Amino acid sequence: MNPLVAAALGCTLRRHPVLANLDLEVEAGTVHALVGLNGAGKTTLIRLLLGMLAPTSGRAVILGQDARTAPPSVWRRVGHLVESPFAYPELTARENLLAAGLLRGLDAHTIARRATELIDALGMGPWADRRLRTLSLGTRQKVGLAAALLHRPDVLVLDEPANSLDPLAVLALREQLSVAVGRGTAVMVSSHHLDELARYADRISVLHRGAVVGTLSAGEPDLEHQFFETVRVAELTATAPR
Amino acid sequence: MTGFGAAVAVEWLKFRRSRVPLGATVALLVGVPTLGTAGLAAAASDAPTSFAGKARTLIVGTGWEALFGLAGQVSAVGVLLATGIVIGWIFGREFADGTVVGLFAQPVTRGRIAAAKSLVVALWLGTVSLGIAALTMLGGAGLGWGWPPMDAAARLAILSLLTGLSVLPIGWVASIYRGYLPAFVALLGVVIATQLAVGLGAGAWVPWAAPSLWAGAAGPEQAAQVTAAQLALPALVGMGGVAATVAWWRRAQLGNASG
Repeated sequence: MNPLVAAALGCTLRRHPVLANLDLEVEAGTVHALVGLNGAGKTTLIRLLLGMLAPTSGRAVILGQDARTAPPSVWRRVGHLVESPFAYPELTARENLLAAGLLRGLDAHTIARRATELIDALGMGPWADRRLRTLSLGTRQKVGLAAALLHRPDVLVLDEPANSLDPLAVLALREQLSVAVGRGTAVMVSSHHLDELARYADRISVLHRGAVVGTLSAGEPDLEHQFFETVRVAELTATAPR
Repeated sequence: MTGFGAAVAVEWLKFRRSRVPLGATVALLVGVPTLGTAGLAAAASDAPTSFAGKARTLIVGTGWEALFGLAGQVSAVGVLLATGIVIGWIFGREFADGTVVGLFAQPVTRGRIAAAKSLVVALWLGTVSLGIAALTMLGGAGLGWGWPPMDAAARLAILSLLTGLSVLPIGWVASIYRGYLPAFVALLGVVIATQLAVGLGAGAWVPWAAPSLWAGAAGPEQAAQVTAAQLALPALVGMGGVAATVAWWRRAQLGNASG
């Protein structure tokens, strides 16, 4: 079974169907991107796959276990950055990574070594020992990325990972994703940056009205046109008289 | 308990680096002994200030008895507000700062994280309660009274601890309403409801009033009538609040928004 599986997944929030009968899988050693308009259901899908929300129907399976009841041994192998980064303003970048590593069950020595590697790789060196309260949104985002990567997870779920990142940091993010994929990590990324996704995604699924309505070919030109055409067709199909 | 030690270490790291607990600690450790000692000194003087007049109305007895009595009354209010703010903040800030998402999908369960937060606040409360009593003793010693009566000092520490324990359910309010502002509103509600209930004659059966009545807020006669069962109530309410908070975190979901 693939590391991340959504099987006939459905979710209704406040009587509003957000996801309906959604099937999706993320294979080990690949980057699977989710694109869609605001409200398409991307964040809800991610929450379901990470056990943050219980589905109304179907199953969300992570590393072979139901996401809502998965044991600690599963979560030790999962990294995520969803919505807000794991970045406490009162702590420095290094202290935030210490906190993230402790929760993931790493020892202090390993945390210190890997934190230094990631701080260097993401260009946080000059600010690593300053409290995040005084630093930019971009630096907080880098801390969140480092926290998700620190324990070298087998499943990595990133919601808008390039938020607030400068171009140099975006390059570093790409490099880190490449390293993770090389290790066999299954990566799910949600983003609005189609150009960026085209550079590292192996598969791009288009979400619309809570369902996967198509896939984009990352290797082909004009991804934006492909995306809007997919959404337009889905919208026409959804609103056509029956 | 898998990861509980890690959760306590992480919560303690966040706690000791944050401004809210620091502010509460300074306010209590400086405020209670200072107001107690200064109130006593002002009351003993002939100064016609409103502070001295107020202090005279609150003071019962003389010397150490008067000092611990006054400090107890200040502590009953101060610890209630400070602990309520700290427990409301430690849970509510995760929602306000958006960091709650990072507490999901972790090997340490959310129930254990909530328990770790409660433990850190309880340990802080215990330490601050001892600190209030110790610094009040120092204040009295500074007035040249010699060795303090230890039973009165212990009473001050216990009343501070019980008062703080009684507001631990504020953490549950912060959790279910997902933020610290609702928690602070609930804290205000507790203060008002307690005043009303005591005014209507419920006395020490009100968990948030029992410690201060025991400390002599309504005079020595009422203080002597407070029973052990009534004093156990604040601790029971606190434990109930922690249990409810842990249970809520165990079942918690993030489902308020869709992307």
